[in-house]
Amino acid sequence: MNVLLVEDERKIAQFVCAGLKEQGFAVDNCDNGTIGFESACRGGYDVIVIDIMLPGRDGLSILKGMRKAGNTTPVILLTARNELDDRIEGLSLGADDYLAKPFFVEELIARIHAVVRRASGDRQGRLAVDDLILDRFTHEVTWRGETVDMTGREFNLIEYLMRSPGRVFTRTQILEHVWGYDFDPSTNVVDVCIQRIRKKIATIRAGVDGDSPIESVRGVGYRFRKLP
Amino acid sequence: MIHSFRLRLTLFSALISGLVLSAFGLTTWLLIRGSRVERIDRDVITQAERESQRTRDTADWQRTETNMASEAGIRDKGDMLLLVEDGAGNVVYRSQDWPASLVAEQLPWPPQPAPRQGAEPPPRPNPDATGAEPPPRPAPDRPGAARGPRPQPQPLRERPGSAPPGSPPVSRIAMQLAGERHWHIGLASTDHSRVAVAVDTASVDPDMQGILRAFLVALPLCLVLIGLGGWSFSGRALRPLRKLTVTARQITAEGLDQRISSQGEDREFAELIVVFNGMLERLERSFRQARRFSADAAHELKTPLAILQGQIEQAIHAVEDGSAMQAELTGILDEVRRLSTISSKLMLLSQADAGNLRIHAQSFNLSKALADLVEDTIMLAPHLLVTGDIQPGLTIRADASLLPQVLHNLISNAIKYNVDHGWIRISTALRPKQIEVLVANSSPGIPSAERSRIFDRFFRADPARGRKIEGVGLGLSVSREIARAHSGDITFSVDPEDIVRFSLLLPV
Repeated sequence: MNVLLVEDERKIAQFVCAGLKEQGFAVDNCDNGTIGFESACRGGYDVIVIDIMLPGRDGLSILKGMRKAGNTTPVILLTARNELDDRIEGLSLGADDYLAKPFFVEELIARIHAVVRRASGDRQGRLAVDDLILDRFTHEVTWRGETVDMTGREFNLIEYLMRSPGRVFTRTQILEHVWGYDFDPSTNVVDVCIQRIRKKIATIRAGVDGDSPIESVRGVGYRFRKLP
Repeated sequence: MIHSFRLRLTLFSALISGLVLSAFGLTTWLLIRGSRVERIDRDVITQAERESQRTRDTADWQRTETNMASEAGIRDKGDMLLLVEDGAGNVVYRSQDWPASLVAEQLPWPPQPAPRQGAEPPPRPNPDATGAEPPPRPAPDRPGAARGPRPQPQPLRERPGSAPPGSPPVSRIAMQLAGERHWHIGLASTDHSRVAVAVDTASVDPDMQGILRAFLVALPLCLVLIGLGGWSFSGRALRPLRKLTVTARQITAEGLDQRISSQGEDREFAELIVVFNGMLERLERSFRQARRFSADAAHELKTPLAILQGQIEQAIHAVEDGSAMQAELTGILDEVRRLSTISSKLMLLSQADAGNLRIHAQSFNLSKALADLVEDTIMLAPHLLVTGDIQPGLTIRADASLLPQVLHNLISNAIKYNVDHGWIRISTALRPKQIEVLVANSSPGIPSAERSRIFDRFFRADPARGRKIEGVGLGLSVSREIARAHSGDITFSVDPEDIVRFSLLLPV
């Protein structure tokens, strides 16, 4: 998947690029709004991530110019300035999503997947790891054909973990993605939710050998077990 | 009492003017009356003296009496009386109305001058009376009041010693009360006659009453004019004050950039306005600085926080899973998250203060959000009895990223400030044009001193039993600003059984 990142802050661009590449994205980075706009208009990207505050042409102006020119590539805005106003303006200008700084690269990746899926009209939405199958449209979870009844929060959590099996997610990353707003980092809601999911999966796969597919990483968070 | 300065000023000025005018009018009135009475005294003496030097018959005296009355400007004939006796004390003429109580013998007559030997018959020294008849006194065109003072008028005059024949008579004034009437009597004696001219002092009353009437008409008129003048003048004087009021009101509504024009105002008020404007100027500057400071600070924090968070995140994935380093980095990341949370709340509050907390209203499924909230509450507080009574299908226009913060904040408070084995109840109710989200919970009680402060920034109620409470104390104030930006509100109440209720009202 090809991503264009228009971000002038070098250090931010650095870790975003690194994070995206690690997940198998091809990333082009440019640090100037004017050049960014030209690159965006050339096309060839699946998604464009634009910082709002840029030298040259600002992010909202790039977005406006793109949409005016009929370019419908999904756009995710990054904002640090007066964030609420930018968010409202950005969404009304046709941005597909926005992310306020500071943000997690994992969250950006999740958003990129979501907007690309929406844009491409992916009707499948199936996610299958280790006999566990998620249907993103019906929110149905099955294990070897048997339905596991999950609440909204539980589904979102397991979906987040399953997208990158073997990758550890911290509690705050999970909190931010699943709950979406500012929980106290010290809350134990993630652990409680994980326990409930584990219990539900354990009930359904009773008698099957092996540990729970959701593994704890002490002092850090959780990860979905990656099959060797 | 009266709470309008303008009205008080008007009434006070009218009252003072009324008092001064009344006192002045009364004094003048008394002075006029005094001088009138004084002139009566002069008149009666003069006339008595004059008439005492004449001899007439009865009919003549009658005419004289009439003339005298009109000469003195007395309208009622009964107010001026005449008594003439000859040298022997026989009554030559007495007015018909002469009161019986005025006994001639009891009047304090001046002593009669002894008749001089070989005296000629009384001459006529008075040129007025040279004719056989008294000259006609045309009263109408010569009102007595208009007459100038006569020479040698003394209220009480006595010229003892022998009077030469035909020389001026001896006279004096007497005051006698007869019945209700107060007579001033001019008494004059000559060697051959005694004349008493009595005038009732009440004879001045009609004139005096006329003056009084004129005054009584003029005074209220004058007071009304003074009142109107005072009202309009004080109104003009207070105009700068009204401007100040209007401006102060606008400041609340429109911000601190209001100023008042001091043009055309009096010096005293112009100075006040200049001072007031100066105060607004300083207030506006410091307010703007304070506001910009928190917005700037929050904004300036964002980039380093973003870098920090991104790099730590990268590092967490770079180190070996489960290593001590990874756990340590996770701890650091949590703190960075805490910092960003505070900074974004500050930013939100500073936007709310600046009055431009805008929301991105879109269709929002409140029932689903509340169901999630109940689920969260159950997970967050397994030790509490959590119940939800949420009407299905509630959809409102709300900001999908801000409103959940409010909901979360309400339940997180309900969990934090609860008791062991307590309960939380989340319910909805339809109000006219509003939906009420009610979060009620058992609590260890909130001291009444703290109740009014719970929406204050950075305020945290004392945790029960020394439990450590997470959070910085911005949640409720942020929540209320968000609710208000949605044209709703958050209210709070504690009932006597220490049940805390937060009510979030949202427009349908």
